[in-house]
Amino acid sequence: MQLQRLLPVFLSEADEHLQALEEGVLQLERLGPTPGLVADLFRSVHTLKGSAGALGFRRIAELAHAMEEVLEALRAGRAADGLADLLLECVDTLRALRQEVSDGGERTDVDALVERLRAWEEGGAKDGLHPVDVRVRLREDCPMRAARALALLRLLREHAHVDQVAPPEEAIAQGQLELEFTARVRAREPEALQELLAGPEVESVRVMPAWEARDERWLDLGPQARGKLPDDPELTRRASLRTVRVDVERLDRLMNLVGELVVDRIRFQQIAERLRSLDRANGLAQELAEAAGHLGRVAGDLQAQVLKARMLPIEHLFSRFPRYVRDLAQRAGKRVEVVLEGQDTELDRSVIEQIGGPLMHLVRNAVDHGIEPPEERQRLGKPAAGRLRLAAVQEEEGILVVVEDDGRGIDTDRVREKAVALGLLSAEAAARLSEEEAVELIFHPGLSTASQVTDVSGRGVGMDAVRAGVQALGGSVEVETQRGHGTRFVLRLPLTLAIVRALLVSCGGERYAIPLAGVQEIVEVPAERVHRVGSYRTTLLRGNVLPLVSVHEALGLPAPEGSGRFLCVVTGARRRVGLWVDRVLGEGEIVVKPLGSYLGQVEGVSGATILGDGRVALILEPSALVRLALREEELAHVG
Amino acid sequence: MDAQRGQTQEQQLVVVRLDRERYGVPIEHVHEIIRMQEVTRIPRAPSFVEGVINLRGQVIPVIDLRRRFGLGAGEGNGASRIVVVEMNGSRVGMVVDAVLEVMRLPESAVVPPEDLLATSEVGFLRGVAKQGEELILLLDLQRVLEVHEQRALSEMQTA
Repeated sequence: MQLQRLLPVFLSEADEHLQALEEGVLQLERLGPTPGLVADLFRSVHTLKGSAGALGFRRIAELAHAMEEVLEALRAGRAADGLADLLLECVDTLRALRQEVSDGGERTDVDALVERLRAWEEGGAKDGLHPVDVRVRLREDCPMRAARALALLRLLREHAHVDQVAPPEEAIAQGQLELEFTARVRAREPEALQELLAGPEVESVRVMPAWEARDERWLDLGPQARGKLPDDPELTRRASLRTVRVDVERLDRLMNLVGELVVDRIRFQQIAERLRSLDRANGLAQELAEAAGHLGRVAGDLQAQVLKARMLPIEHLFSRFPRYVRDLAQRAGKRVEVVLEGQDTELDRSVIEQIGGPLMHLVRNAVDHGIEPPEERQRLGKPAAGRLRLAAVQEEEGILVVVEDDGRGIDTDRVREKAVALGLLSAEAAARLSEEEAVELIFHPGLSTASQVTDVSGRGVGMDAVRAGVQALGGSVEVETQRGHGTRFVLRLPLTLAIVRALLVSCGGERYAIPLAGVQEIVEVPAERVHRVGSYRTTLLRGNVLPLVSVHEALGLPAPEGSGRFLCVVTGARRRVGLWVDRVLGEGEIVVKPLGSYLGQVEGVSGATILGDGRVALILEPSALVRLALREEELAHVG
Repeated sequence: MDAQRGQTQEQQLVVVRLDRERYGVPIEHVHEIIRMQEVTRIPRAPSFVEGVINLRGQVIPVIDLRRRFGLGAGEGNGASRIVVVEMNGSRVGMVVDAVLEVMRLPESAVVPPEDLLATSEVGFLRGVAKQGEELILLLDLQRVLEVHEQRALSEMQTA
């Protein structure tokens, strides 16, 4: 009982701590063990250990405990040599355990990792070195203090391993030394250091165990370490009281109810209209209409607030990438620096969930094919480490996400060659393509799959899947590239999937919504301008042949009475197709709802929405309709 | 807790009518009973799936029990209702000809369906109960709502 109630809390807290740990370890790898950072890591591990222990997750607690010991050693002054990889492995194992806990129980073994953590921890003692702090105070009358201090440090280095000095040596060299400096060292015989350093200009030498020193003395290690003070726990506590965790399902239900309010408002308005036609009730009708209008505004605001509650900062997605890129780069023998921008840009969580895949794809391509190996970069006069920039910006209509690298760019000549070799187009046609058109070829499914085997374009691995994924969200992908300077992908995404602008059409007595993102234009074509070419129906649109797909046929519904006339021209599956409907009823914003698991995937339909009169209308997925229609026609050919 | 009365186990049923038969639906699965409303058709769905409706902002599927059981077209009079049941976390509406009553039934009154019936819907029943002169057919909701098996079946028939 208790466990059931606490488990979700534990899981979501564990996610946060693991994320913080991963970021911290990456920072540790880059900047070394600053006291604030070690304190942050320690706090995360410690909390995780505590809550896992309380819920009886023995392995998580055991591993966290071993990590704590290691961090304690860092705190006591050990250098973090080779520790980042080991700690990242621990984070991965903790993640696996966290998943297992939510699936029923811990399975992954932690003994080996715990053993390795212990071995690392004892490494210091094994080589016979003891960490200590050595504090030296010079006499007030000591001439040339800085030179004296640096000489003493040199002497110290001959007998011990010096990890850190406060104030830092550069500062001492610049004369920023009062009378005292402290060195954190590892020495075989710490007691001997006292005698070693003593001399006429030295007032005192104190040697103390490093762990007694703790953080405070090291706070002034320079700007890098400054500002890393542990958070005020009281402040943190107060902040956490102002937020609550809400299940997304609850928000969806809330959204449903708001939708119902809107429907009710429309009913009230209709009643008011009817009342107005009865003379006697005129005043009442006016009042009712006003009340209905107010209800509508409140419902609108409520809807906006619920939508806002579904938004998450894109940080939730971006924060995975530093680690992901590190691992990729390590494997590919490259150096890549990740720059994240606009992390607090907010998106609907369903959008965030679905762009993860496409983004990982783009990032992987950039590291594998875009960014050159360090030697090559240096030869080209570029910095050895490549730069991968992930940025998010909010625009009026949606969000822009940019994935940009400073690598070699897309070699359009080779893209052309490959496209010709694969028979996608003739050599002449390929030569006629502009640079932009040639770059667009990387999104061609044929080219994409082929380059998985032979890496030709330096890009293009599954790029068609990336574009399809983003388009399915109602977004778009654009690419800019400059040979030798890099490539930039720009993803345009909708703010939310919960509400889309759509065209409302009628077809065979049913009403359907078609998302406007897929509609290029609406044209009226009378029946006499529809031509049959074999089993295909086509029409001429501004001199071009446009294949026509009937919504009924695509959905397998009986043909309607009277012939349809209106056409929405949709792009789907990389071609322009006319969708044939009976009538276009209008356009507006619709709230997208799932059809539910009972019906499963309905081909050609992406969901449902509730219209102003309370009836359900299906939302059509144009690209799937085109696929369906083409399949039917192929079948018709065979039969 | 409620099912434990004295020595005998009891169950509560919502009794509905379909054609001339009375069917029992376990009350713990019944979410609510609503009037018939206009249903939006779903393309390429199994024939017994009537479509979807709006249940206070939630879109839920509705199945036609008559077609499910291979009975003729419905009567279409005002007594028809949609019984919304909740099964495996999803809500589904079932169209019935009428809702009759809620009753308690001792478990001892239930016999396996094969003993009394030899009709096509035996597969959808988990038992039959005698009540005076009348029979109440107890629905096995799990089987009634199973889509995929039915889909496979109908495909086999048309092939």
